[in-house]
Amino acid sequence: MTFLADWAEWLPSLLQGLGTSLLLTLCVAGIGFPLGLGLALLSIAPARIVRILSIAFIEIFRGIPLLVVIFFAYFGFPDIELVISAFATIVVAHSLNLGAYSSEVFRAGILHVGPGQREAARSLGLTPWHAFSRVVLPQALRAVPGPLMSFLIMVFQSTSLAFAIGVGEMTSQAFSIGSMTFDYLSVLVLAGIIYAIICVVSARIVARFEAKMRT
Amino acid sequence: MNVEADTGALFQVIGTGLVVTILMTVVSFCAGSVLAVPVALMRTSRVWLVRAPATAFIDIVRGIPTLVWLLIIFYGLGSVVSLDPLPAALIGLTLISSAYLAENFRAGIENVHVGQKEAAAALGLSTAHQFWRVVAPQAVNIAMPPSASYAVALLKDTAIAAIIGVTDIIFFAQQEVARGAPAVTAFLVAGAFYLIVSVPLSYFSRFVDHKIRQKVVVV
Repeated sequence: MTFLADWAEWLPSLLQGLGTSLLLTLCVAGIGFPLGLGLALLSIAPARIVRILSIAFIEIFRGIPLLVVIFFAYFGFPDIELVISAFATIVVAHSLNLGAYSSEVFRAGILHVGPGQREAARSLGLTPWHAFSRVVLPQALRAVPGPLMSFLIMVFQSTSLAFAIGVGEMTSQAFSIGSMTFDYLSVLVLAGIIYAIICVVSARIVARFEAKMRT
Repeated sequence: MNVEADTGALFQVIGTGLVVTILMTVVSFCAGSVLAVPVALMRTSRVWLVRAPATAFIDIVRGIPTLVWLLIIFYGLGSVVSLDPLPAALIGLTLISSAYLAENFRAGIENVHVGQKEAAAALGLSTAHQFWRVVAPQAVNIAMPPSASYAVALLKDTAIAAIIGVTDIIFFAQQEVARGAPAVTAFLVAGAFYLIVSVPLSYFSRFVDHKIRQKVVVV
């Protein structure tokens, strides 16, 4: 059981990397979800040009792999005199990606509410803004927590791509231990187990939550 | 410097990676579909001992990020049996797509109305016939739309293979940047190549979804 001794030795630095992975996930969610809501609103805006531009933005970011966006930001930003840290680069690139993906969920939620609610609110004398923010939006947001939590798990998994530009999250930590000990298999399997435990447990929680919401 | 000629050259070089990207997508989707059938059958079994390993397989494979799988296969197993980047990526992506597709197939099987099976049984079909001739064809219809949109996700996932050195679109873009090409242009070109494939593919998947919704009642 020598590998267990190795694992015990490596665990602290992997957990430290896990902290970075979780922090990345939080930052990305904190920017990406509001961005998704904003994009959803723009994509159903009355002005045609606004709709077209926002839908084009969504389609482009949904059609391009996250890694391309990350590399574009990491190698491209310095070319246009914009210098930010690798961590910030991941947050920016990943938030744009998450914004585009989650906008579909927000949009479906808003469209699900139906025109009658808005009309009723307007006929009661609410301003268009109040009809939307106090009547339509609260109902729309009731349907989104389940899908958004699933997105959160996906975001956590794809923070591993930060490895490609050397942010010290869990995958990078595992890989650098591997390159020092030449025992890539063991340490990567350990990292994989940690990812799997977190993802499987949170997926179960999300499934239970969604089942509860439905009843 | 002639910017237009440079961009044209970038398109040519990065375009050579397109074949590898499409190859990875097609091979791992097809091989994954084949592997997914037994996994989905086991997953829907009534016997716990048959069902549990399939559930564990699906959970574990999907619980580990694609990049970590590719690193485990290329660097980890690479120390035991030496693998080239492309076969390593194909193994990893096939494994992952088999788990995702198995879940789609399972949902397909479970969403065929129980009356179909009962009717087939009442007509005297054997258990195997009930499944393969009555349930399975309808299950395939239900599983098709989510599987088509999974193909789009898989296409974008193949980009991760560049990290272990597979010579796909993004690999050539990186190489050109390392040789001094402007990064903004190179990755815009790379992005454009992915869009050329992914946008038609996702429109096709929506079309399939629309067609199937007309054909079967999804319960």
